[in-house]
Amino acid sequence: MEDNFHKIESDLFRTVRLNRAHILWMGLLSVALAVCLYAYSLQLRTGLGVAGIRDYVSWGMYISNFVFFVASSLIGMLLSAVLGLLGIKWIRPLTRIAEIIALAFAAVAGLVIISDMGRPERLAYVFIYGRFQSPILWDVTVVTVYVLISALLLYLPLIPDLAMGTRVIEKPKWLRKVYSILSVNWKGTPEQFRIMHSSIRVLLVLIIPVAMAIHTVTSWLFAVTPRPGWNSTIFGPYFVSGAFVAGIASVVIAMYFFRKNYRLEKYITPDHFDKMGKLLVLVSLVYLYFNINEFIVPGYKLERSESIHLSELFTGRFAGLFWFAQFFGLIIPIVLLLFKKMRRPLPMLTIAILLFFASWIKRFIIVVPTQENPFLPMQHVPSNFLVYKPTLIETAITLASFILVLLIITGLSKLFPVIPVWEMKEEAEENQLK
Amino acid sequence: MTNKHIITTALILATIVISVARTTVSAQTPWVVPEENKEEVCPFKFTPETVKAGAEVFSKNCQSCHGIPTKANWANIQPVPGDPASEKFRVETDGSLFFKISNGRGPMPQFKNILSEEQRWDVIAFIRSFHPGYVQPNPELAIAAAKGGRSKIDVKFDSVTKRITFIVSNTKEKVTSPAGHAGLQVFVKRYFGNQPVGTVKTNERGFASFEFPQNIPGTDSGYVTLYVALNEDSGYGNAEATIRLPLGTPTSWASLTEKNAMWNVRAKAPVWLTLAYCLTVLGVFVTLGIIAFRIKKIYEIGKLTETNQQKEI
Repeated sequence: MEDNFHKIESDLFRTVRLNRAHILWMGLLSVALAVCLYAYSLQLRTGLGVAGIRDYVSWGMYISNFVFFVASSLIGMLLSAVLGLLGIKWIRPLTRIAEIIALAFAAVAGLVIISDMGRPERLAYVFIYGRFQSPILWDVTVVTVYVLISALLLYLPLIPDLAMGTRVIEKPKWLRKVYSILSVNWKGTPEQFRIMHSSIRVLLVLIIPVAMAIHTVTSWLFAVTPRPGWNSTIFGPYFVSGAFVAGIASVVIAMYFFRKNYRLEKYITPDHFDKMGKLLVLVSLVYLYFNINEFIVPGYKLERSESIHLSELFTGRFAGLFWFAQFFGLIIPIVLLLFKKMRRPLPMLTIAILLFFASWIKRFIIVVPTQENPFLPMQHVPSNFLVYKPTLIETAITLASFILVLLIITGLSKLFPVIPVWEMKEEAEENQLK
Repeated sequence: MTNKHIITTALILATIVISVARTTVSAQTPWVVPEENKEEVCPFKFTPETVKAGAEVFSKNCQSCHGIPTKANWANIQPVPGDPASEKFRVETDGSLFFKISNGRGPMPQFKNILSEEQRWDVIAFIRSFHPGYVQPNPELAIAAAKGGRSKIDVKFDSVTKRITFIVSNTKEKVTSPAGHAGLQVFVKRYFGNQPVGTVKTNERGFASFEFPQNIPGTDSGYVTLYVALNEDSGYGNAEATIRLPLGTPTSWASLTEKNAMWNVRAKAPVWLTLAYCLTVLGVFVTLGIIAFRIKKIYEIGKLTETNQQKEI
């Protein structure tokens, strides 16, 4: 029993160290980030005109990316809160990964919004002059709250591991110090466990409405604007269900790399991939249902402006992107993942990567085409106002947000064990008792 | 049913539809032009230039239905638009053509808001160029009035009879004379543009009496701002006048930003919305505060356990 505990501890804390490969990877990311930040400095100096966004398509890549990031961050809520509160055990080793992903995406989502601002130094004005009637204020509020709760949900279950870490980790010294401060005198007394468990429970309950709110409000930014393609009552659930699809893709990719690179094969098993695959089919089916609703109803009525919008998507300028997103983001994963063989780690990774791209494009398809087809015709404007073309600078700034997410995820997963050690020990104990 | 039957039925149906359509058309009342409009004449002489200008206006506004004059290629609509070069058009007076173009009827659009008076006369000049033997009636009368100089509109208001009198005068080479037969357009000033309330013509002495229509909304004390402009086509040049008169129906407009509303400023947000936002945010932050407090509790318990352990040692 003691041996087993020791094995779990050393297995899971082995990932917490800085090796050369890791430093190289972080260095590479930092250089790439620096290049992209140079692009941002150009935008800051010259103004938003360096991006392809203009008067009509004023929400381009940045806001599509923002929607994608918010969507990806929702997975923390689904895995830890919904499945956790339902008492589903297999999810335990994955909760921290999900929380890290949620925190990284949610935190960077806030920055992505700032990248869409021409005068970012006026960010505080949103709060100073914000109107309670404006979904923009709700969005900023709810993103901030979600980041806070996600951070707490990452931190609280980490406390016992931090205390454990002060014993296990020898170097570097500063990390031990950090562990010791963050572990807030954790002694593992029953009283401390009780407080921790009840606090986590409160947060898990709280994060469900907050997470629903964050993405529903994001969808309202569009749905409350009377525009063809956005004028929809189901945008909230449509976005939330789509978010779970995108989020699971991120988690599966992360699971695969952590399992391989951190040698966690014993803890993240093919069985986990199998179960995530099934979960993905479930949420994809829900999303498919909302997609059908979203297109059939306006497609049946073919009200003038909606019909222009729909034909742009189905057969027009955006048809390629649209069908790519629908096939690789919905149809193909649903069909393939029905087969057990496809739910093994490598095929799952392939599907997840495609799904990740398709999900991003799906957000682009939701945000951009609508703005190119306003109700009133576009007249007497320069030709580059008519059609949105992302620029290189814009793409680099968008890439920066992805690099930042990767940096945060790698950083957190290197500083702390990615699998909750004490929970694994608890599980081993439970199995022993049986 | 065989193919033959289908064709026969279709033919019968088509005949019925066409005959019904014909009856409706023939049932239409004749287009009566008021006598005074019939006698109206063009204020300028038709020249090759006016015909050319008319041809241009015609091709943009009229040709799509009436076709090219003399070609009899009008659009297939009911009632038949007809060819402007035809006898049917030739027998009309200039005034009645002008009236019909200006006011329209059924599918014939009302052009008085689309084309200026001059443009409408140009079109008539163009149409007349297809009518052999046409002689323009006494254009001299109108030409004599073609005048130049500077014009001025004086407005007199009799608060008892509520009558408005416009006095138009024209000053040319330091000689001021009344501007006779000048058209005036009367508007009420509104937020976004001017609301037309009528037109009036001066007599030989340059006087025009105007009766303000009823039920025109004014301010809460019944004031309207009247704006009157000299019709450019009268040949007297530009002139306008503005006057504030108590002629409107008193109307009080509730300001759209007076009450709490979704579109209002923050201080006037709907109460339920402000409450919902503030209470939710408060609730969440109080919960988070409690959590922070409990983390502190974990710390204190740890400290206590530590001291207890030390005591035991």
